[in-house]
Amino acid sequence: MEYALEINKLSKDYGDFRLRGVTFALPKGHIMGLIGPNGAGKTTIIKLILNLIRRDGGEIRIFGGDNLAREVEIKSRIGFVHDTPYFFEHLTLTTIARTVAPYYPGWDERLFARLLDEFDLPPKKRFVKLSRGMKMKFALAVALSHKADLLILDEPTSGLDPVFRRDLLGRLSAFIQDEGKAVLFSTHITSDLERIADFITFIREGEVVFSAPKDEILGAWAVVKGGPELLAPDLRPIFKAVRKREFVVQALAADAAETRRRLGGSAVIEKATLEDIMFYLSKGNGHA
Amino acid sequence: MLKTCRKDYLAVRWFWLGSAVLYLLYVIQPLASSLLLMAFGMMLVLADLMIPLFIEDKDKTEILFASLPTSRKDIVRGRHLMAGFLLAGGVLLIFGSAAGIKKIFSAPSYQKSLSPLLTVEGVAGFLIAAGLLTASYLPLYHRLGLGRGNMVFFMGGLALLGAAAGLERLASKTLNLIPPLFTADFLKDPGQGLIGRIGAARTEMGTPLFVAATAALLAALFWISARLSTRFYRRREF
Repeated sequence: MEYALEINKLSKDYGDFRLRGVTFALPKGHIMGLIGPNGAGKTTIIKLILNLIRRDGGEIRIFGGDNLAREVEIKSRIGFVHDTPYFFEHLTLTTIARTVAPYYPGWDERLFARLLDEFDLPPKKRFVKLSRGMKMKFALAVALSHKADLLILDEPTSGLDPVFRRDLLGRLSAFIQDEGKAVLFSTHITSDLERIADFITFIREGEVVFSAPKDEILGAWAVVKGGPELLAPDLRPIFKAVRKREFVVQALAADAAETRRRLGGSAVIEKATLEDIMFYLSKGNGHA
Repeated sequence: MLKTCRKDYLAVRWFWLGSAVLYLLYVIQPLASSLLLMAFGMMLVLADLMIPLFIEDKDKTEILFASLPTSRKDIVRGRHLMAGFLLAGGVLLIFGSAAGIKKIFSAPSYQKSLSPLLTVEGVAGFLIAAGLLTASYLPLYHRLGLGRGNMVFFMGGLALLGAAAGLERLASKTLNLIPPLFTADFLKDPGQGLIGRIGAARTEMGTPLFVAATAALLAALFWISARLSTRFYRRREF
């Protein structure tokens, strides 16, 4: 399998926060969702990929090349959207594009103009006058205007209305129809990922909890609801996280089939959504 | 490198134009001495260099441009190239306007204040002083960022000036080791005094060698500044 992005044992130490041994790979022609609670390290990983911060260890390879050794060549193949779009506030959208376009050999002015039109962005409007959603749309238009092969999007759907969000997801799906392209998509809106992602990487406290195909995750993980009998010591190993209420115990299991076999009809077992997984792994008393 | 210059130009061209107009309004005052014109011109070049950095800091666009397909080294070199362009622009504006005003207005005050400026040593003095300022400022900016960099630059500059004046007084008046550097004439028209000293060097070296030495000094200043800045900026995290 050919990979657009390979991250191997990546580490970064901020003192009060550490990214430890982060390893995952995004194959070409696929979309990967990067999920995790606030402060888990998602943005740190994206900043390391773009060389905005220095790594303390590990390796990042993009289209087979080291992201530092071949920085300029690799970055010309990346389209990015940061969690907050940073552009010159006092400039018009067309002037901003003139500041960015020369950096990209593949910049397509006609495509950019078309995207502004499709995204309802007035070219002569100053960036400062745009709403947060419109700023995000503009950042997306810039990211999509230079025929990038890898899109790295950090919370791109935050602030977007549902109509445009759906439209964007459609565009991303169309983007990877070209088998050579890929998307890394960090978000809290897990329903977006359930719609389009092929792979999910879950980060918690600077470590990868899992990185696997989405269908495999949604097929295997389950939410179990039952009484205090679920707290029995022999059952604890099958649960990744447990939440106790007064009369109800809810647990997250990574192997739905094994859980069904062990519990039979003594508990309610439901398919877990990505939000369930994120919620339980972030808030539950985990013992994975 | 040129891409960095281009985006700075697009971002702040109107601010630069405004600062040039302000300068021109200032220079038509008959009281302006050659030193004040030079000092104001140096501040103008420095301020014009700082404006894009200030706007980048305000809008946090360093994150954007560091994410684009360019290296930190190229960003730093671009900023130094821009400093070079601003110096050249400063020379054109300051000496061009001085020449124009001297020609248009015949008042003796203009003639007296502008004459020492419009010489080879006047241009060289301006370039060396403004070059030294910008070449000192950029490494501090790349090491400490805008806020702390500016504070250290201005506080450090004041401290150095104070120390230089103190040392000169100690060496010339107390210990009688050297003749006084800051004489009454110097204070009366420091521009002429400074330019006079540079002019002596020109007479001794001859104009071609003097011009070459000035260019070499500027090139060395910017080379050291760019090397230091690149080393610092590579470590910067966003």
